[in-house]
Amino acid sequence: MPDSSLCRPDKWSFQSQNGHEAEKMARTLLLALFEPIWRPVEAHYRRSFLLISPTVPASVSRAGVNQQNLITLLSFGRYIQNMEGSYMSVAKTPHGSVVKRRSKSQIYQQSIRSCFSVASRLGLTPGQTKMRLNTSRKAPKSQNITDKVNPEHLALMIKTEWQLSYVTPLYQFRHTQLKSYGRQLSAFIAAEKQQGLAVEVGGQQNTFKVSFSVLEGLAETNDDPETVLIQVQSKPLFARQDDPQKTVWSGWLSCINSNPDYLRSLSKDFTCLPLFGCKGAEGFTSLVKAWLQMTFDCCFGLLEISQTSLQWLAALWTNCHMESNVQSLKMQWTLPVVPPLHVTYTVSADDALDLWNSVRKNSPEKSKRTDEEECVDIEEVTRFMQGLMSHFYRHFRVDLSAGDLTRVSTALGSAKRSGRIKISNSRYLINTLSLLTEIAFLKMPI
Amino acid sequence: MDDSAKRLLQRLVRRIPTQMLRDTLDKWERLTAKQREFVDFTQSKWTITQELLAVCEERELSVKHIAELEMIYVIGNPNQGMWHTFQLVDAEDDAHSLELVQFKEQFKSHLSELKRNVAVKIKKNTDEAIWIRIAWGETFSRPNHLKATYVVHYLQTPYVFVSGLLSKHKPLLLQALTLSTRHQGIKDANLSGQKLTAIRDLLMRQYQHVFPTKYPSPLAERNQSVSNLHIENEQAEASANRHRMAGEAFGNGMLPALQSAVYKLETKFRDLTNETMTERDKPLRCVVKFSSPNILESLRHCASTGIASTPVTPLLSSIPLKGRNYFVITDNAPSASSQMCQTQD
Repeated sequence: MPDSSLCRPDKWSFQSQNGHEAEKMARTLLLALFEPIWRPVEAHYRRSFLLISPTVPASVSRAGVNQQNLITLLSFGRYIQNMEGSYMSVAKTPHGSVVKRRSKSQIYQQSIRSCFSVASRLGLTPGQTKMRLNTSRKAPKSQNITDKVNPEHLALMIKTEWQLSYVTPLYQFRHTQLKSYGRQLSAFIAAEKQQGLAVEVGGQQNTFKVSFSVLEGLAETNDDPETVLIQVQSKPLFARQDDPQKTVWSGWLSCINSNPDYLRSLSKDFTCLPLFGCKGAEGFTSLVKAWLQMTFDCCFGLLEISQTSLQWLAALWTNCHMESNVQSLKMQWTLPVVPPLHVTYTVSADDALDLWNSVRKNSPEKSKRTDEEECVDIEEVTRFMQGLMSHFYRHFRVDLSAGDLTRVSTALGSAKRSGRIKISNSRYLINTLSLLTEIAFLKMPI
Repeated sequence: MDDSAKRLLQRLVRRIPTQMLRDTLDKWERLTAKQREFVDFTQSKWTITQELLAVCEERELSVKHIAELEMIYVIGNPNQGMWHTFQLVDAEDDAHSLELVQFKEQFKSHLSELKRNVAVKIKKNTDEAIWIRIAWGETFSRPNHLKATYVVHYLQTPYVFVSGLLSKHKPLLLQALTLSTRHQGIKDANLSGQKLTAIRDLLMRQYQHVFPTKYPSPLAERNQSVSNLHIENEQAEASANRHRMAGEAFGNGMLPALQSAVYKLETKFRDLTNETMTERDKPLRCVVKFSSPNILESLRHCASTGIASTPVTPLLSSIPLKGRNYFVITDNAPSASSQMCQTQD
């Protein structure tokens, strides 16, 4: 069994003579250089079809960093890419040598997606891009989840703007060991904050207390792992003994309405909580991420909410106006001119709903009669946005599609392209989180 | 010095950046050169405040003098706060011969007739602008100098720029202004922004305009024998045309830095592919806000790059043409034409 760290440049160790700084620089440089390469390398490894000769990266890790070695690495990357290409064609033959072990082959199916970018660069069309953003989804129904979820927990989740990231599956994460994780993380934070001093795990001197807790009741299907809430609490510097601790950072890991096939395909050792939201000082965010990465061998990435997803949110939130007042639909576009022009387009909710109903294929009344599950199609979403944009064009003769939709907000919440989300109404929390879980799955490199 | 004077000075020192403090005090001319040297500007704001308080105490300065200092600072830095524009209408015969002394007297007397306990300070700036600072008081309380209203007016022009005005004082100020400038009415000009200079330039047309002409460039002689350049020419022509029309709509060169424009649309939704909405009687109510560090430049760039179709729609070119940045748009006739008009509100 080769060591998985060999395929992760961020985990390679360098024997450097120039001390810590040089190593850090080399690592940063390598990471930047190999970002496009090591992802497929990693995917490749996990698939464990082709045994990468462990000598190649090992030799790199043993050597110091110089130009010659960089070139070696680059060519290694290309070699892997080429293998990727040739592999894809093998996979398409019907009698290809597919490994029969179920879990592995499922992982392989998923990892094909991550190779998509590589494959398209090589001019190949992957046949198995199974995971795409859904083109059709259920219209959100108002759900009263206050009886399922602890209202205190719910209050923590809503009315706060969260910065989202995706997380790859956590290795050997146990919902039963949350207390111990809390102790470890607080020790880790204390150690990082006062480098050089010895720190006792769980000691009294910790100024930062970390608590891990389960947000029960958010999970929708039996396969969804329960959401985990992480809170970092601290006492203000000059607080008295009996002053309560203040929450200085909070974050959560969640997975709602995820793809059951994928979850079942994971080996038992992995827990998939792909959606990570956090709020608080940047320093804490990076510390917590670093600890999670170290402890559960996962990686994080910025979760940007794409234009299409924002359009979905706009349409789905407008659809909610039938049940609860969303007040107005507010969208912001940024046009690429000098200086950048922001266009904020606010439509009254009643009128937006009328427009939405007019572009629906099946009017809501009809589906009520047939008692079918109400489904929303991507075409309807597109027509809705086009309607709004053409109304704008008719007045200003400015083409909004030349710019980017950067944010959408209603009384139910707001979403920004940079991956910030705020949910203001607990009734639609689950719906929004399941859409975001889906986006996180798409962004995840494996 | 009383409490209000001290508070005003404290607040003022906090507001003025340290590097501008010395110049502002120099312009003020209330302290002697020796006293000004006494203040050490390298120290913290708190220490500077204490030193200034001591010096002012020594000179026996009152809140009136401190208000002067504030005025000097605001005149020097007019691009702060939110400025609203009003337009004077129906000038009387003698409006054009109005002079500063006369205006000053009249304004002060009209305002004090309308409201007791008002402190007014009028100052003429080097660029002929008249700056008025008004501190409003209640019937039984002295003028509150901490929240003063600023009014800027150029004599013989119909525009008045106001910042920091409470709605309860608005009718009083407008009436005093109308009477003392010898006009019969005043109305909201629907133009507001953070930069007073930009608003003023826009209204007073102090930027480079381009006027539509039939022949934008000197007529070229038709002796070009090259024929395969037609495609290039076509592209270049279209591009040049867009640039010209963008310039005609918004002007050339530097444009006044207006930060936003708001349109309230109450027009019907019309789309041939969507019958249900087109047949609907009600208008689609929405609000569109354009914002940018300089919307006129942004919009000009939109038009010249083709993001906005040319010729530029009257809705957008109305911003520089009419000098407004707030519009309410309704359908002209609800059923017949697709013509849109702007209602004056």
